[in-house]
Amino acid sequence: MREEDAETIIGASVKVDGDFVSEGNVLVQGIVNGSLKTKGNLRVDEGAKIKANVDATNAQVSGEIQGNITVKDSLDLGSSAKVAGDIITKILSIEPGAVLNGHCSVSAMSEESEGNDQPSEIQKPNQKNKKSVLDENLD
Amino acid sequence: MYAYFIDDWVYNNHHRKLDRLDLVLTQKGIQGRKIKLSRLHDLGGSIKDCLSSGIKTFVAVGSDTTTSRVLNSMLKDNNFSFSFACVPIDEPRAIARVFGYGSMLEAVDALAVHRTSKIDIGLLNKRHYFVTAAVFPKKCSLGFKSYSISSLYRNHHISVCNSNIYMNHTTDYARNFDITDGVFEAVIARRPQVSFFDKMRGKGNDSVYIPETMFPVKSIIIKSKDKTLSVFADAEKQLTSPIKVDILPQMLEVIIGKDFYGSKQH
Repeated sequence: MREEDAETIIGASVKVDGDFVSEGNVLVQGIVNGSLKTKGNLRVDEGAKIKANVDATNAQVSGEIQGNITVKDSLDLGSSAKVAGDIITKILSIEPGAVLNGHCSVSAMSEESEGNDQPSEIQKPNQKNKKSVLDENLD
Repeated sequence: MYAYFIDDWVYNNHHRKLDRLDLVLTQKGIQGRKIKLSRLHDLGGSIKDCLSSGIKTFVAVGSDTTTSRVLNSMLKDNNFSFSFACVPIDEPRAIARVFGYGSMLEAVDALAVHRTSKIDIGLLNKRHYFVTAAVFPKKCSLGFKSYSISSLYRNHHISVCNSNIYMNHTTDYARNFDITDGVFEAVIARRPQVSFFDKMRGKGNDSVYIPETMFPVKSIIIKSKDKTLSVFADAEKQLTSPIKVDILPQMLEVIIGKDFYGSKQH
């Protein structure tokens, strides 16, 4: 997403608090606390700090995000990106140097889930089952 | 037929320009009723008189303050259709530039051609109308339905723009400022940092602001700790906080000039 394509620009010296919702392309250079949803594309520039769950169609991230990221199509994590949270997307690209702490679910969304608009939940490893298998082996 | 509302100070300070305007209007065949606007003039009564005479084109002659005064009077009793224009005599003339004419003669040419377009109008606290932008004091924050925006620094320029008031610095985003799209742009602009030596050399201009944050909005609430705010919306206004800014899409029919920028033209 080019800078001039952005309809909403959150500048470097601005703080947004609350549930931010947009219909168009969003460029974040400042601070966002709460949640961030857009039907368009999202670009998070280096130096930006987002403490929010993020929802977008496409996203390019070079800044910091603390929260879960749900991207319908493609998510690019730049070399300066720092993400602490789970990621759900269709296409994921990570540049060397990017930091990611969280679970990733990268898959072409099924027709059912596309219809629902809500991506399926991340399947976390089942701790109980693991323990029981170990216990059995020990016995 | 036209009605020209001419500000008092134009008669006193610019009588030569006024004579020239009179001559050009006669040459173009668009002369009409002339109304002198003194401080205590009953503008509403004059507008009603004009309407009963069948006048449907109203022209404010003076500066932005004159245009704002005439426009607010006309829109307050908005149950009639009319075309609006202004003839800039002196600075500030930002409204005339938005309409597409920067000088008196260009405005007269536009009046003669009579090409019109419907533009959006801003409304402050359901009382005060504006064309260009509403500029708020620096300590304000912007409130939306579900979120609020505040500046991290104090020295920022906060405005809700209908047209592009940052002409020189928004080449990338200029297309966002469309006066006919039914959407405002809430803008937080910063002053570029100028070094001490540049200031000494006179290079730093204190009045220049560069837009940094931009939000498309239809309705917005401006909050401040101060009860009364001095807002510059075409002309200076004193309003009580919080201030609600609404957009009235395609509300006003204006006569446009050759430099008018708007995606929807008639």
